[in-house]
Amino acid sequence: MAAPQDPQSGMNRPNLSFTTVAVIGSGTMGRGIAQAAALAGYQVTLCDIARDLLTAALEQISVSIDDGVRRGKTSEAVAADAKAAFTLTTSLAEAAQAGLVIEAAPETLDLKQSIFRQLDAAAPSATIFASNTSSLSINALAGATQRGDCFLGLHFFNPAHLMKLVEVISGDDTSDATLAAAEAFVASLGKTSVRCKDTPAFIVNRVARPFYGEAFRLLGEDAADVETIDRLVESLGFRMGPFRLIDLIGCDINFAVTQSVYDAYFGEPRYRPHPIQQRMVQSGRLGRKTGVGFYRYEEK
Amino acid sequence: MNVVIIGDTPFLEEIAGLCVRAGHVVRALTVDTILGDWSDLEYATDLLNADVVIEACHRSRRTRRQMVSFVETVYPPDTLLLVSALTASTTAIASSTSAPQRIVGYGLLPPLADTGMVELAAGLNSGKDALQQAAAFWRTVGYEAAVVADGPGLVRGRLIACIINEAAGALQDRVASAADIDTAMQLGTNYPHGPLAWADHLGLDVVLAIMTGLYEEWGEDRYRPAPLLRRMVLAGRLGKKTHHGFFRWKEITEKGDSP
Repeated sequence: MAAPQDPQSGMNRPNLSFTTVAVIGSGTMGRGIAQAAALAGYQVTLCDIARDLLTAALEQISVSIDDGVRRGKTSEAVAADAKAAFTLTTSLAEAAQAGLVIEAAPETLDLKQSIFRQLDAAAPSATIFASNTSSLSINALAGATQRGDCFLGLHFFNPAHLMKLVEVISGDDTSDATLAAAEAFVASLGKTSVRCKDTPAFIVNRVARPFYGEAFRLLGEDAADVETIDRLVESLGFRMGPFRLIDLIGCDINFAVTQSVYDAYFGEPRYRPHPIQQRMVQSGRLGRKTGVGFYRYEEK
Repeated sequence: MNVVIIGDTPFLEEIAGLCVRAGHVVRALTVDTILGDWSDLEYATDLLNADVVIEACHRSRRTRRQMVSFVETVYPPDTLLLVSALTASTTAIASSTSAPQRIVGYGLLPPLADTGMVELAAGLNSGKDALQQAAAFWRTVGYEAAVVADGPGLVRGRLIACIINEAAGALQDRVASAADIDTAMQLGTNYPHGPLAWADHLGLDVVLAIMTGLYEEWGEDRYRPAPLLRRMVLAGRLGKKTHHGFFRWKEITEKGDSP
């Protein structure tokens, strides 16, 4: 538990060489991050509140790894090693012994702060803590620990084992060494990192707001119908127009993200949700998962 | 068909390219040519044979009025005139003319390569025939016409300009570097171009004009142009055409990742 101190600054020096990664939370994001780390050769400690959640998660990860083998993305040998790389635990103190701890718990400030407080008490002081939060402040989470210099955001995108981007978010106290170590970790996963300041919605979720917001406005004005708007946007090279994409994401998720960004900026008019979003959610037309959203989908 | 195009880069070249590829006889005139003394244009006889005139000028209202007035002076009142509705509504552009029925708004957003769709909008005084003629013309170019409501930016220009404006706002707040913002949008959400490189291609002056047009039309804060965007235009950093916008363009072109 002895903290290696930087003799010059007295700050904690981050652990630059680690082979173990702990992922806290075995939901969609946690599983994707854990899978990416295991495939990159890390020993992965997956932590959640119940044993059955963990075994189910590992089963899903195995299926996903096998899928990668079938599609020729992963070799048999790498897949076998990755599947053998997991340790499952319900103990945050055990997870805290990894070289890098990535939290991917539900997006609740109190819950995340409580997790980080417990991790902070158990982990060596130079262990880097990262949060995969998409909507909470990195500074707010770092504030629950005594290691602001070794704390940052690593925002992965869903599905995390496939998407190449990671937003590396620095808090006010994050050290350059911590950023460099995190970027080296992201590169070791075969992913690309971008540096981002701790501001609501970071880069992607912020800059993408008008893609949805203006599409809703245009639809609300009856400037064009759903399909025309989608086809026009797709003609520019977007893989999916806004409404096809929202149906894939889920109207409920899209509405929740919109509200969260709007609230985080205290009602900035650019981010204001549109009544159509609320109406879609209230009427149960959530998109592909309910069979109807802006389009109708065949039953599975 | 004989097509006359009056506009600024990159719209002028890209639209002319489409029309040439379709086998039309194309006359491309820069806005500056029309702003100068055009009474003695040496190819005036060619110019007079126009089946359609396409205006692609995104400058001030006064300049656009001059473009429309040139067309009014030179062409008979039944010549189809397509005006770019990116920065102002069709109705607004047609308001200075005595023959608004032959004017139809269109929306194209470079880079045009293979986009295959044009937006068309009728102003309040546009004629029904003109709208049909316009759709027929774009079909000859291989472009499908989608008729949408009139208003600055139409669908694509409005959506993309607002995304660029948000990206400029994020850059202004120093959330991330220009290169990282573009990388994030391309890798994190599969955008075909980084929004800031896209702005450099369109011209920051054009993006600013779309935002200003939206802001004036709706009077809503959500369309307020990012101060950084305005400052860059004032500083002459217009993008590719001045080799300096959000990026420096010789380098970026050489890297081969330009839009």
